[in-house]
Amino acid sequence: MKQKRSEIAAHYIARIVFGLMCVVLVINILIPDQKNSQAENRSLQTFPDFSFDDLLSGQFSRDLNNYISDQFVGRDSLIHIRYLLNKMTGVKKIDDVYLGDGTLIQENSTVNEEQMNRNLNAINNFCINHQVRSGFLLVPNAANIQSNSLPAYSNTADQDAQMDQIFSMLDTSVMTIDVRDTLDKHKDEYLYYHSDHHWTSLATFYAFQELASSFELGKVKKSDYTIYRVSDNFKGTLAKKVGSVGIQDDIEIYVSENLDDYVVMDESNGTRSCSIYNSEGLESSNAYDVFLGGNTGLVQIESLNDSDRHLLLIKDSYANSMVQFLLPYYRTITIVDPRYFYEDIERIFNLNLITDVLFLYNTNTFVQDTSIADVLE
Amino acid sequence: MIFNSLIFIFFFLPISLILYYLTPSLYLKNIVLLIISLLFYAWNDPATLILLILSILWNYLSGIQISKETKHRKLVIITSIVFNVVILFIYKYIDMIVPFEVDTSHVPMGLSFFTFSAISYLGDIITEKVEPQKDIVLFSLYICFFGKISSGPIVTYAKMQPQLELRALNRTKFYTGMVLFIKGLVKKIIFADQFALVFQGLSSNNSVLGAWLYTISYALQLYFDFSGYSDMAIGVSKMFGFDFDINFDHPYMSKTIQEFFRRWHISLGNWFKNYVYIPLGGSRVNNVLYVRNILIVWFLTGIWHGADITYIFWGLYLGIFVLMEKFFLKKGLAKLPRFISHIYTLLIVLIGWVFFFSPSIQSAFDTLLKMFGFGAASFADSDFLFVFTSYLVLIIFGIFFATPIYDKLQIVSYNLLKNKGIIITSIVYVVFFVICISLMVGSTYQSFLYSAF
Repeated sequence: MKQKRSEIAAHYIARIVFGLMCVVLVINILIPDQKNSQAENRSLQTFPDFSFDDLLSGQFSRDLNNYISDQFVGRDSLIHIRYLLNKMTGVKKIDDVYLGDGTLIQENSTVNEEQMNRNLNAINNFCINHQVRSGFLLVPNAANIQSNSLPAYSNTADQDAQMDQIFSMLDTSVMTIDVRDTLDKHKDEYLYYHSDHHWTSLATFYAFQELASSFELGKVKKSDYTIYRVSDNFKGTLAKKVGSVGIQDDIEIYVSENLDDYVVMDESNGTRSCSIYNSEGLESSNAYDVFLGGNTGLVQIESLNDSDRHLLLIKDSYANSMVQFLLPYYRTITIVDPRYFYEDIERIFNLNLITDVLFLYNTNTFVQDTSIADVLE
Repeated sequence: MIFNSLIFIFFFLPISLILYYLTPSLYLKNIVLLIISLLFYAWNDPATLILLILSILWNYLSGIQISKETKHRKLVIITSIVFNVVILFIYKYIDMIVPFEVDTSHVPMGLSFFTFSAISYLGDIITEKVEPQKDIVLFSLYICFFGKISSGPIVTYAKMQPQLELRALNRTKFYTGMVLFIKGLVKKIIFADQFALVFQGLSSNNSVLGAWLYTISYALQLYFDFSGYSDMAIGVSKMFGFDFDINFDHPYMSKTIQEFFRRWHISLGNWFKNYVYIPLGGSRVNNVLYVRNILIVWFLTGIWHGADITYIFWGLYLGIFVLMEKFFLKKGLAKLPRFISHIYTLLIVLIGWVFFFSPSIQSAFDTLLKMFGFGAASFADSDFLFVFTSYLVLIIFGIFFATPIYDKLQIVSYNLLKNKGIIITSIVYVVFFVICISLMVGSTYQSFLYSAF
């Protein structure tokens, strides 16, 4: 009887699973291939072209392997099962993302010493040579400021020590803008997206208050801005990476009360716009692109205000949400992202009669960056 | 190609099964199976097919010649076996001998497995256990059947020969094969691959408990990886009508080291017993020769796993315990309570694994010293606690499934729950299959985080 029951169970299991295999096989063949993955932000492998050379080198079968997994039916939903299983069994980290309580937090990066020293040298020399108002705003990451949201016993790289080291290596001609204390005071507020590695406009606002006093831009308070919630279902890169379920964010934009007209020129693709907010970016798979439409090498903003100051902003994506606060204070803002910038920085500097230089980076990117020195030198 | 890939499960396997079952006679089925097997083998690196075919032809001709030859029989036997050993040597051990770097990236898949199968064939002919196989299709299938070529089980020719010529194909076999395949997939994807994360997470840990968990997670990873693979291999073979013996029998339940290796990678142990140990005289010799025989077998077992001094050390270390058990420990162990024998065996095996996984003898001793408190920075640190609390559920279930309790519970559930037990079991298996697939899809899932910064 025992024997028989296990055999009956085997019948059911084998039939269902073999049926699944065949159904998936047929569906995989029948449904048309997708070229790109919205969720993963990359192009997917399509059916490989056959060539005899590829077959012999094994390239054809490698492509075919990738094809099957990239075009696998229900791919985007299956990823959530992994997350749920991990979450249910108490796993606290997937790859480099901590699974906090209702929030995802990226682990701190370790320092690429050699490259970072090169970058800091280049920044120092650049500021010494130009003798204009220069500042460095280094933003701490969520794992640093909101370390109490990390799972128990998490032990990520000591970012405070990294930041202290960076600040100490900057020349006296570069103002250090350290926003750790400010953000720390507000650490229970909504400073970082739960599903993304960026900071919120709120955190950017607090940091701007600090920056405004260093750069003598005046005092600002929250009521100086009209706040719009432009998204209430933002699922950021961390959420996509781990396949999380039920973690999503609001995106708010802060629009200054008395703002003159301005024009935004994206020099890398020649587009013009009269808003720093990009609705295409908002609709895209990564809604943080609402700010400036994402990262490009060179963006130029000209305002119709009567300021005599011209800003050069050298930055990573954390600065994208800062531009909305800087807008009223500068006649022009020249935004350079060294990772995508291949022009002559000196020419840009002289052309725009730069009066202020601001470096704005989040620490995780800065300690790993490999492009700043090459642009500045 | 590997079993735990989406392309195998949702492309290769179902198509192969359909083709195979649609083919009318067993002889034609064998031809289909041979073509499928060659395709399976050539999948990742087609160039390695040349060596496989060369090896098949050599051993096919050697087998026939050994049985015919009377004058120079010894010479034929020696050259035919030496050829196999030389190929194995060139690919796997040349690094140990020559002072320069050799490109070993093209080691043919399953080389040590199919070479051992071939030697088993020649051995069975030499001892006249079997007739040489005249049919090249059947012989090729013995060497390269895709169910076993990549990592065993190493089936002896005498065992497989009757099945090549006549094997029953029925539903029950197909169904049990499929269930075994799913079991193996779960062991590999849910357990082995997750224990690998625990192992990696603790690789630079400097605490006493961290070192223990590091070693234990390796022991569990290796067990679930290889026994999972073996279950998949035996399951797939069953679906095509072949019956192979089990390769793992809950080894961590053993009470002696000797018993451990009767339960761990059983087919390799049998191979060494049949084709090295017994030809050397086995245990029917005086004590000096017996010690020699045991040490030779364990030296070879060690080096079979790889061309590294750590594997040889591991093999000889275990060989010495087998000898000690034979001469002194056996009686003592028998008198002690069972749980002490279990602890003794687990401890010796765990220490053995440290040599097995460490890159050098030096680092193995570092880990061992750490386990016993020497050179460790603390008893437990936050990294250990992080990994331990993250994977506690996995560890508990891992230990549970390494024991035979599950099999017993399964029988109890059938008896107690009757038909409900059948439904519950079926649902659990299907759910776990889907979980495995989602984990496999997930591992290829990559969001380019950096591009979004």
